[in-house]
Amino acid sequence: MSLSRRNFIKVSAVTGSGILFSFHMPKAADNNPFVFQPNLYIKISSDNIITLRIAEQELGQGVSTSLSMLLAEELEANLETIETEFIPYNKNLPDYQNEFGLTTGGSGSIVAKWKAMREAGAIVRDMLLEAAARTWNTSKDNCYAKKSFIHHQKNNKSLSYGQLAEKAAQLTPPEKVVLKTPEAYEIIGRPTPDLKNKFVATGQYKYSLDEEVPDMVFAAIVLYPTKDAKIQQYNPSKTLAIPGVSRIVEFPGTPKNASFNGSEAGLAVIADSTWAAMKGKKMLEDNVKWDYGEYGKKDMISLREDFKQALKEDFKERHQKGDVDAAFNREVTKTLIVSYENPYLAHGLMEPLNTIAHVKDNSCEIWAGSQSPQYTCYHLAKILDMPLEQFTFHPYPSGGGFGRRYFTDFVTQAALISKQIGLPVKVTWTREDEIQHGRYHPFRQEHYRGGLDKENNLVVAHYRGITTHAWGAGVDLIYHVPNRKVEFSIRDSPLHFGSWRSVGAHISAFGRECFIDEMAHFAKKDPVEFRKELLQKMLDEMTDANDNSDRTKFKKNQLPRYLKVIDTLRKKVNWGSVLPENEGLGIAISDYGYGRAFTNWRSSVCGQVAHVVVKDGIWEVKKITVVVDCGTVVNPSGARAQIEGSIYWALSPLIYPGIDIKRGQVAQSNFHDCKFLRIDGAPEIDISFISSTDHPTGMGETAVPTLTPAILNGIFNASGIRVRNIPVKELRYRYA
Amino acid sequence: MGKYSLTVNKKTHTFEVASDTPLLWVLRDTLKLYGTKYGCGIGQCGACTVHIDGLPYRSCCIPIESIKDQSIVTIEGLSENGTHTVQLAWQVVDVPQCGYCQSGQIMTAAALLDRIPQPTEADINRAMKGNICRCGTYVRIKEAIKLAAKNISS
Ligand code: FES
Ligand code: FES
Repeated sequence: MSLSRRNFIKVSAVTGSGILFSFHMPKAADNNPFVFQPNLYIKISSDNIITLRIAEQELGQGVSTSLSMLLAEELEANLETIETEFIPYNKNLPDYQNEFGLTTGGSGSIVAKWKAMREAGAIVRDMLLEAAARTWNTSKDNCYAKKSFIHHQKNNKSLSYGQLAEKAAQLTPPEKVVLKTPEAYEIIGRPTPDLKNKFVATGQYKYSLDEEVPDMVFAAIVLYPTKDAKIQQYNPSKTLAIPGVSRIVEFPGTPKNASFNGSEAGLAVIADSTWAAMKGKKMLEDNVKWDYGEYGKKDMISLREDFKQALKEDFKERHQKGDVDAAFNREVTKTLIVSYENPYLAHGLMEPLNTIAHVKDNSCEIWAGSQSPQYTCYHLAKILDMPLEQFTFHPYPSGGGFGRRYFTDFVTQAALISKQIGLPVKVTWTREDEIQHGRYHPFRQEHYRGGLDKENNLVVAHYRGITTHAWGAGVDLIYHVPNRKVEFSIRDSPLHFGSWRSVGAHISAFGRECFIDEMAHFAKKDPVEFRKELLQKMLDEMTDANDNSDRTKFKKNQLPRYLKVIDTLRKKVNWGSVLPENEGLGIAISDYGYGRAFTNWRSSVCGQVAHVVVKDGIWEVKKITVVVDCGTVVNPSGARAQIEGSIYWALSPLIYPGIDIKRGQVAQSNFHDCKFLRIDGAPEIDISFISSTDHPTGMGETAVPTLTPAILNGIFNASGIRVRNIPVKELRYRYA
Repeated sequence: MGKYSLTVNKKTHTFEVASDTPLLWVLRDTLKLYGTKYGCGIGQCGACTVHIDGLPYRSCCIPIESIKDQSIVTIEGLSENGTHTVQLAWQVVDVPQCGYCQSGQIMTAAALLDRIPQPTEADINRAMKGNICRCGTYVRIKEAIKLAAKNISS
């Protein structure tokens, strides 16, 4: 028996986040050449290649690179020779039976693996050191590890990790390892180009859309156009007459009974090529007669009417303190009433959704880019009435995730189609499908009422938010207002809801950061000073509260971070200096995520200042200055990329209209009428990080929420025009 | 259906497809050159950009029947070993995020530098604005093009 077949279930490193890196051989490996696989995630082969097998999904956030960096740091591995592969989801994966196991979202991958990945590296390094020491008949203290080699301190001897792999595999992993202190980091904190770049730059990086499996057929789909649509009739003959089209199958919808599941019913055109399937789809669309149902009567006008109606009905309370009514009656001398509106927004994932599915009598195999392979299988198992053990999900990098690929619909539909035809099928969504059958950022209106006393103190704030989905309903005011009340109302939506990069934080920060800015101006105070004063007061309230609740612990840590970010930002932009006419600065701050014990009750904080010029009816962004506190920055190049991407992501809805609804359906269809930012609209960005050695708190979404309010506050300071609904309709955007 | 012969990356292929098949789907489904991407199918995003006789085209909008004796280059054939100045600059500047739009971006940028080896900011914006990147790699695309231009001149 090969040595690697030994099971070492002797040590496990449990991280604060509860992720277990058990050190054991998952299954027997074919050992020619020898492969040392101390656990499911790490392999070292005799040719000195280190493979990191990752269960997180690569969405463009660079997780393969940053996880490799964490491993390499403690393993003392040569980062350039680390290869990554994605672990298929099947019964061999720990926690496979859980509904939410390893999903990739909420900017949480590095947060979750920060400790575990480094510990794994340290454990394996220790085993390699031990192997070398035994080979040289010396003690471990005489050996050191560097760039995938173990060297002898006293002489020139060295052995590669690959050469030591076989011996190391016989050893028992150490019970305990000591991790490096931040001053000793050589890889963490070093700007590192993404390890996949060379594959991307040569067209070799493979997405599921680029995959093929034997006997695969192609499909394009016609999804039911509204939430309660039915088919009255359809004529298949012209579609079936298209060369290459073999058949049309109807697939049922599946119920929505969990956060991310549920799928639309539809018709699938099966063909021998993508093009034939797409042509068939188009033809079929022209030959279906729909009953659009009750939702077919809805549009944005009726939805706005319903939002008006909501104002006359009861709201749900989320938070309250003091006595809002009494304050307005007795203390307030000036009242400001303002409302903000945020449209439905699509994702516009660059790679249209797609899945290859092969469902047989007792197995289901999936090839797709998803943020939630395990969750998807978990729900699909129920739909197909098949045990979870019979599923295999081959994960692929996604051409953009941004929350959309957390949803299971596109995989479910492919599985239902494959089940009917008994063949592996590649279902490719068209861009039109992607725009029209999305999982949208909710439509939301927020009504704020704030009151100042005679000394211009903000003594009361009343918030009423009306939205089309519970996520992010209500708002965390973050600022201290002695009398405050937050209420919300959720209305039925003709469109499906979704998580859109930064989920609820985007909508909350927009209204709150504009409102607080408006209150500052109303009180004739500087918006930065005003914010600082109220944050400090909130910190005092939290300190006085002296309770041990998670929320208080979180707030007590976050508030000083806000203050530090604001101060840093203020200095960077020289806040308060005189600007040329027509120019203005707008500030906003927000955090993203929630505090957890293992992050010491912190989440990432972002502050932005938009330098805006408004002239002749045109608004221009001169520069966005960003300050972020996200704890330790693992890969500054990747972290900056996330900030740049987040800012451009958030800028599109300020320039272009959100999703419009007509007859219960999305009115737009492709990039010509559902527009997104292009290079000529992308302003300069200046990024800095608060220097920190804290636990990382996530980077993928942090910079999204603050952009909208920073810009709208900037437009006001530049022009006196207060924009409260996006996109900005009062002015035109200036392109380069 | 029709029989076609096509020179892609200096290799000639002969195959049978429907005559209205866009070049994009011939490259991907027939020739298995998956580096060229589908993004919109209507010439709006640039993900499908290839070179035809040295000029950048949206392969999703070119039916195979309209191509006559032309030489096509895709991302896979842009250079021998991935060493085109633009490909190298893209890696140094760390442009790609999800990477999906990037073959189109690189093909467009390479064609720009062929035509204008030292492009101005305005040239870059004009040439690149047909390519959407939802990950928002725009600042780095500009930087990488400038780096490539610098490397060309030296
Ligand atoms: S796929 Fe050709 S331009 Fe979008
Ligand atoms: S890198 Fe993801 S779309 Fe451009």
